[in-house]
Amino acid sequence: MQLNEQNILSALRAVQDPDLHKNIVELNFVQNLKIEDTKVSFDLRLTTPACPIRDRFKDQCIAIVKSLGASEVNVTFTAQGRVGGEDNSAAKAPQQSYIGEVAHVVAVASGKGGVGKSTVTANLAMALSLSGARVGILDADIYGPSMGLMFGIDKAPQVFEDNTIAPVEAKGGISIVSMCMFADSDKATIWRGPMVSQMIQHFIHHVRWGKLDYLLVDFPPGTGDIQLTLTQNCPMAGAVVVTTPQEVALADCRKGLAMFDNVGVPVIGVVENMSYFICDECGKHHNIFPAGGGQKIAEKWGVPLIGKVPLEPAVAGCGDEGTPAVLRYPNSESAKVFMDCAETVVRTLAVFETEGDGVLKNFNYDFEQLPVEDV
Amino acid sequence: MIQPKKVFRTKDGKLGFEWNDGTRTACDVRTLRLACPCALCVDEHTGEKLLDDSTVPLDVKLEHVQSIGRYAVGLSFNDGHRSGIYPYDKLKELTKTA
Repeated sequence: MQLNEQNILSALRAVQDPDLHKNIVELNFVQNLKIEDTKVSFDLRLTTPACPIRDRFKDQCIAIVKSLGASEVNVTFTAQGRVGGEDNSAAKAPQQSYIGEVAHVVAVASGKGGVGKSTVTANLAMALSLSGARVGILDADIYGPSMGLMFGIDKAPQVFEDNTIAPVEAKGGISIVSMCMFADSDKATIWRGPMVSQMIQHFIHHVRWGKLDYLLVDFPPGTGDIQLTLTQNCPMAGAVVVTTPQEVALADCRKGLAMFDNVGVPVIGVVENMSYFICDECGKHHNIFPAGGGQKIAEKWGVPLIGKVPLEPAVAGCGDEGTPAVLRYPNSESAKVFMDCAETVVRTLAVFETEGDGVLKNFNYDFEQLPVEDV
Repeated sequence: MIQPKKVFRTKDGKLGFEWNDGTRTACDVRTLRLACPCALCVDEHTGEKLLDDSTVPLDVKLEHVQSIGRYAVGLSFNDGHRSGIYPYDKLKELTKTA
């Protein structure tokens, strides 16, 4: 059979993508097809560089093209979605981004779910706002957003023609964007990783935050796709890691700390939530979990323990009722702890800033435009 | 945490960095391309190198140098390869030995 583009492409239609249920020609995976005598080369543009079945594709393609009479077949993998490419990807920042107007982006995270990240985020934000700063919250928990409930938000954000979003202004003048504003609260957001990553990037870059002093990012639990997208797309000034005192939470907390270490985000400190219970009858402090867990992890990892938040029945209900405890019960023990934490966050970020003096934070250089120097 | 204070290029076309520990390192562009740590070039699970060096043009050029969060740079090359994310600490080692 003659070796020409048409023959090769029609033969390659036999190679199916088992996930997309289409053949690789139909999917436009085959590109850059070159034929020189009996030598054939082409690119396979995969949907992800880590495509698990790429070797199978390659073997099939080579076998098929050789059966048409080619003496040599070269298949090169390329992938859609890459750094700096035209197409958007996990590592690429969209052209216009509003995140630059935010002075400090602070991550609030934990390795484990259910330790009270959102409570801590809401109260830290409120404490910062009460001390006079302009504050925003990005609720990055796409699957389980809780900021709507914490602040009692019932309105949708304004979406502009160019698809940018104006955050909703909540109690205490805090600007908030959360998935709960876009999805029905009774319906689940059932999305695969890449969809969530896109939404996160949209939240980071296309929300008109305006000039903010602090943007707190409420991380979802864990150390996966969303966390990486967040840390790759916005230069975090620092991270607050939330834990509870018991060992299971501490084990995950260590992973959270290690993650920030890996991606170069300095840790401001650890907040131990549910540290002890304050009896609403007698006011006595009870250690429900073994005491000192947060202290232990702070010492071991060399990060400060910046607050121990108690369990207080009156205060605990605040989240569900839509007003952060700091605003509703400013004289409670919890509120005082949050105010102290907020102060520590502000001071520590200032220290980080002077320490990191002169370090490049956010850049995108054209190689040809770089200054010429000797090593 | 090692971080760059300055990015430059040398007369002979190398990519250079000044780091926050005061050191300066530089590395030629093709060496960087061959050391690409992305999942197309290195097997994610075994760490085995998948990139065939002979497929990279000898005169491969660098187009963009972009920060990725606070820990890495993304390099885009003119052979169309742009998926590599080079963490600063690895980049420093790489440019020091080259």
